Amino acid sequence: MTAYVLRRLLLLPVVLWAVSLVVFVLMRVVPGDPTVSILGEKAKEADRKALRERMGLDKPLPVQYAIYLGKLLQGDLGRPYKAAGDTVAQEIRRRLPPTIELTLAAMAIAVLGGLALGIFSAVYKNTWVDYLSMSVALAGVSVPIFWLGLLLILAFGRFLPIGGNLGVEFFLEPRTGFVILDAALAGEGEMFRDALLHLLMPAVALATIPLAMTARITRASMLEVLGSDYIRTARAKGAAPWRVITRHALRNALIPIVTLVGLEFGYLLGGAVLTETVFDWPGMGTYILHSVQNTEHESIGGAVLVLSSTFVVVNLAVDLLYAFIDPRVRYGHA
Amino acid sequence: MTWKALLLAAAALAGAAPAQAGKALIWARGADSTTMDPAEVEWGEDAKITQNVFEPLVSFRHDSVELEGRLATAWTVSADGMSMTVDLRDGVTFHDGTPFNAEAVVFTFNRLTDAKHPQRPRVAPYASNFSDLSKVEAVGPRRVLFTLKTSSAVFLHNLTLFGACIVSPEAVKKHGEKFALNPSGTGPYRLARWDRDVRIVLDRFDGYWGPKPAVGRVIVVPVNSPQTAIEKLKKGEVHVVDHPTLADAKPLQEHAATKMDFETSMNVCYLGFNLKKAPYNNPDFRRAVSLAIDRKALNAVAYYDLAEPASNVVPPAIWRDTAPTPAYEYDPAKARELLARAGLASHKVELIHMTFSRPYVPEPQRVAETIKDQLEKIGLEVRLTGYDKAAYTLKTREESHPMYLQGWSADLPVPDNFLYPLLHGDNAGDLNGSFFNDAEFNAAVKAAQSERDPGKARSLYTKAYERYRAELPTIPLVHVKQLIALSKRVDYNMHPIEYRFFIATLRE
Repeated sequence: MTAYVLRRLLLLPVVLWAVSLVVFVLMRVVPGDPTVSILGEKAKEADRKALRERMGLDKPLPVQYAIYLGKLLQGDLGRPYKAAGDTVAQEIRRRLPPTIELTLAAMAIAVLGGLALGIFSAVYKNTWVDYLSMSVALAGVSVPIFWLGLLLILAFGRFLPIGGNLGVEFFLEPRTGFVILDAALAGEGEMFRDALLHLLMPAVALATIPLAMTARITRASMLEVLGSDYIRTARAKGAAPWRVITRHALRNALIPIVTLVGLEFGYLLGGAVLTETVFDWPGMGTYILHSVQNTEHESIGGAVLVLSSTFVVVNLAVDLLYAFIDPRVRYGHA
Repeated sequence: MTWKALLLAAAALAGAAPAQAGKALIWARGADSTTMDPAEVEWGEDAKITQNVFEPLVSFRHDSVELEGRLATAWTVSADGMSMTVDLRDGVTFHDGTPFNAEAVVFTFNRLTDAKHPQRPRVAPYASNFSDLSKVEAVGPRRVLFTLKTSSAVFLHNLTLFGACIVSPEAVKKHGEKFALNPSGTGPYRLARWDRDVRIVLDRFDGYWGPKPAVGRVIVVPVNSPQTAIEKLKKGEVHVVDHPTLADAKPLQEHAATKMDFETSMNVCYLGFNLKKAPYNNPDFRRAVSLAIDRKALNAVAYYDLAEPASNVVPPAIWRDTAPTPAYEYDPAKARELLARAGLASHKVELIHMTFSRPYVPEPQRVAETIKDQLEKIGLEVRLTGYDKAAYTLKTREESHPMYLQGWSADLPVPDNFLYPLLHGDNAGDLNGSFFNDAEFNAAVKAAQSERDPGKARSLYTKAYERYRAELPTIPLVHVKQLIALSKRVDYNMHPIEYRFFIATLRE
């Protein structure tokens, strides 16, 4: 087991190197260059050329990549070209907690809601409960996030704050960077409530697709388990109906669901980019969007590397989780 | 237990009142700033903040583009036009408490123009506007002397640019590169707090030399989508949205809680032709295209009637009474004849356009499609290709590009600010994407740059205009009104060139 974890962790740098290469190449093959956003559309070609030289953008691509990789190896994610002040690492440190906050909230909604819908559908198979749940699930997987986000704003914007993660007139000094946690730590009840209200719409928008997917997988998995012999035995023994479902059936039905939830985490990180844009959530998503708009190579590279590492580590955690859920799973054996 | 907690949370949330903005003026815009160092400012979002935190020597009157002294009280230009003496306002202090004086002015301009200056900004996009400045020196505690390399009629106007805003030398030396995060100017507002991508908080500067702003605190928030921003405005979460779409103008005027303010156009949207490439280099082709464009229809379809048909590349508010500019003729039948005569009937052409919104093309795709429709009515077959910002800027400078959609917003309210960068031969292959290089036009525009006699300057511009109109290197389409959406609690009149938070008032 330890050997397996170590092996997986050792693979992480290789994955990150590949990611850095792909992002580097992609950014360079896209037409345009950063000097346009730094000096503006009105700048003269001569000024842009001089800046390109100063920034080393005139060097051959392999040389530029070697320089970039050299800095990465020293743990330096670089500096934004246009935005003054902070380094990419400092910016990411500020942006990651809000994204994790949003992702976890969406994950909680998706898993709890999806499990509930899926279980109800399976238990009340082919009844109106099933049809309704699965219709919700089908709608959920089909709706694009940005559209759903706008609909939510139109429908609930009157009752809930629109955009951002805290009212602009609240001043909260970041301790952990997680606004809800910081408000709680500061003992600011009103801010805590405001932060929670700000989280609702974006979290629901982001949760919709994974919720729908979880519901569908849960239903299928539960139906399979509910038809097995040991369930019939449990029922025959006189176990309470819901106890059979939650204790006997659900635990065995969880394996494919956990796999899906692990994969969904990656989806949620990607989906956060769109959700954050619609709701002006100050996380990695808006950071990536602005960096792409401003051709900020190093910011995009840094953000993608950090998100990729998160994804890889979460996937590893999910793999390890199997062992706890399903005692048959063993790692590291030939 | 869990269910109970959830129910409690739901109950708490259900009772929540919608967040209402308090006493601060909350101003929503499309994106956050990237710098607060005026020397580094390149785009409008950065300028919005620096225009309220810093001040230039010379600026515009509140209601027009007439010049008036801001940190300068008087100026005199030498008889040969090669130097200018500026008297400075007394009793002005920077936000960091240091005094404003001639040394600060010298420091600001040296820092902007001297590539070897120890406190040189990271980039200085507008430094080239001061390339004709030879020397700036203090000739007294409150007097500076600008010496120029050539006589310039636009130098005084250049002093209004955001790059020419006066910075506190002490603050620049203290913060170094981080001055961009810790700005210190003399403006009516000082920076209280900047949470990147979340908000910028500006507080009234109590030591301001002029009339103090009515609103004590302005919170500027980036709201990427105009639709979201408008929902916030209707609800009262923000008081100002400075990036409404044209389509929003009418509904917002009719809404109970909101209103609109409009301002004269200081921009132009035009159709350009690459004169180095066939068939765009054929004068008959350009004339035919010009005759095929129905500006009224374009205005109605793509600009919601919030633009005015253009008869000159320079907007009327800047061109003023320089020379009459008759409307362009719209005659598709004649256009078809011209095309047939040139052997270009049913010819395949390409129109490239930007995919990003600009004040002169809020909806570029719609504008491009309308033009395509109009050109197809005279028999041309038009292919549209869209590019994002970085790619488009470079694309329109290549020698191989076809017909292109482009525009310009004034940095300075003078004809030269349009004619020189967009059409002079010096800038061919740069901002002059048509490669127009007409000797008579070039000479007239160049001569006007140093002509200080308004009558003579007018006749030079008239000559340049006639050459432009005859050669059609580009065809002006529309000048688009500037607009801003406001809560009815706010009184604010847009300025033609600047965003001035300090003139806004907010009612309870």
